[in-house]
Amino acid sequence: MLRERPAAAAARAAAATVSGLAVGISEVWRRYGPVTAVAGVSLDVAAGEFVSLLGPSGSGKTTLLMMLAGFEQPQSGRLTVGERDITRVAPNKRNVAMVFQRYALFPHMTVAENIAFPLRMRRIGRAEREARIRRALDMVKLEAQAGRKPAELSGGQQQRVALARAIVFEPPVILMDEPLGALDKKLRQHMQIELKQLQRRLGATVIYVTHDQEEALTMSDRVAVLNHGKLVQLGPPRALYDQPADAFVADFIGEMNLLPGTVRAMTGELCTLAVDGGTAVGMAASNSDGQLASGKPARVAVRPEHVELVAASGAAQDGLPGQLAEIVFNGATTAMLVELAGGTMLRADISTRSSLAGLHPGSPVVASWAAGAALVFPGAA
Amino acid sequence: MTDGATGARASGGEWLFHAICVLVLLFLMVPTLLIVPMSFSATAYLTFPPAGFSFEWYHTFLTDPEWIDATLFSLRVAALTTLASTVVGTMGALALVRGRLPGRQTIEALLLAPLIVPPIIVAIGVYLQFAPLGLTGTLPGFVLIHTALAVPYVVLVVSAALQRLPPSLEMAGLNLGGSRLACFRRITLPLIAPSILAGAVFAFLASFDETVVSFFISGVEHKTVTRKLFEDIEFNLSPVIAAASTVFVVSTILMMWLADASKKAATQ
Repeated sequence: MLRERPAAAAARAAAATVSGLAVGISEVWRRYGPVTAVAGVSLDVAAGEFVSLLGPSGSGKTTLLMMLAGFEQPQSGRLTVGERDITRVAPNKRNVAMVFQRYALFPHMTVAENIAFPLRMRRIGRAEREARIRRALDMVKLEAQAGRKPAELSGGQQQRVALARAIVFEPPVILMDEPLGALDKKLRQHMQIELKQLQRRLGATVIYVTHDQEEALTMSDRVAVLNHGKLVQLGPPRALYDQPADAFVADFIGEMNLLPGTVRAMTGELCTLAVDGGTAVGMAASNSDGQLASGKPARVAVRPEHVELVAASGAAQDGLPGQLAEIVFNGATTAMLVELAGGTMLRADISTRSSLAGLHPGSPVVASWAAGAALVFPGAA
Repeated sequence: MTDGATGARASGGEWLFHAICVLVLLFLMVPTLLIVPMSFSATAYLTFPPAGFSFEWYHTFLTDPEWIDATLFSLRVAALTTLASTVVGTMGALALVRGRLPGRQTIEALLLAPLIVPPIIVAIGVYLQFAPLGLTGTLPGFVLIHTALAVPYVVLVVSAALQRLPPSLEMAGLNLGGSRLACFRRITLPLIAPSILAGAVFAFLASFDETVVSFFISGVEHKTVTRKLFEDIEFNLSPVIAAASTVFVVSTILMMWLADASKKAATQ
């Protein structure tokens, strides 16, 4: 705070400063008939933290968010905001804002009237109300659109109105349900940064639901990965990317090669496996506790940017031999798709500048990686 | 040249289609339209084609105390029925569309039953119930049964509007701190108001036009205009019937047009 640049400090002073509250989710369960939507999830979000709930559809992330908003009831477990238990509190008494997937703007009200709604419900006087609406509109840069109806705005503008309406009553916690899902890619990336800046300025706690792992990695302080109603891993984006807890997270976050094989030998944490076309190495995943014994099925996970490719020389080389199947130009990197001897595909991302000259589809190549760059997970696919 | 041939064929088919439409419309409207010239007849009994021209029958309709009483009574019944069935029907639609009612389908079927059961069955049932209670020929009696008959129209129209309204709007209202009542008043109600109004028009007409039940439960003192029309057809057959009918047809068209215009104004 002491080192804040003057401009940022001024912005902070001008903004309605909100201090976020911690959110506690403990041992929450929700079943719908035979389907378990949320299976004993516990998660503590610190005040002012930006946490994403990330998972495929049906992973329970939206159900969890709806419970925090009060539109779904947990069958057991406890939800808290700050010191307050909100498990059984009515949705309109929670003081927890929500930004809906399709914005849910009131179509018969102007932008200003939409933003005024939560203030009117709180019986905030006219002068104060107008000042706050102006401030909220200023924050989302929509001063000029105050008198328009939602239908007259673009998707991005509607998104901003929804945001302004959610922050105008200075809630300590803001829930967001895939708020950028309906925007095109360019605008989405722009809004991600803007949202993040706004959250920092407000100091509010944000719980953000998304199925887009890139979005979660970009915006969050921490990401909670959910699958089949269970919390699989919780951690900062970098930790999720570098140290995935299991093969699901490894596969779900970023690009990942997952090669099935059989454990040959364990030397401390170093695991050697027999895979398609040869021998691969990697470090045993942290929670594999002893499940990686010789002869057991396992999968080695390696990021495409860690795979090194060399042209096959004919002499004996360390690594997995294969044939270059496809070269895909992606801008800064070029993806080399290698078909290993047994038909498994392996992707290597090579910097376009150092793109291996002389390689073309059909070239014989050898793929390898440093043992420390790969993780080995127990079990078959 | 093929273009010209297919064009000619298409317009030929179109012509036939339009001709059929016009014939169907004529078939539906002629009986009503015939009433209009007959109402200006100068003869003392209904004839077609009408002979002469006079406003005499309109004068009779507007000055005869029996006609005035019956018309005013019908209007009073219809107004109260509209009020009651709009409130009840809107609340019913809310419960059916937004609520989590057990046996929803059964309730829905029962609500819509008056549209399906033949009116004569309803009339006999109502008469047998109302007579011992002293409700026949009374304003409350008419309003009660007409409300039951009009509610389905309101439920149908308002349910359709609620189904088109995303529930997330009401959820957003709650989330932003509004009570259920505040959310209904400020969000749901303004958005479905045009449909409620359309439902109210249907309810009014359902009551004002209602003949069979009214025929059964009308008294000597209080009779509806439909009952009065029926009696006159039976005993007098004077062109005043045509004059009254013309007034009702024109006012019905005006009401439908108003409801439609308000709906259009709301969606713009």
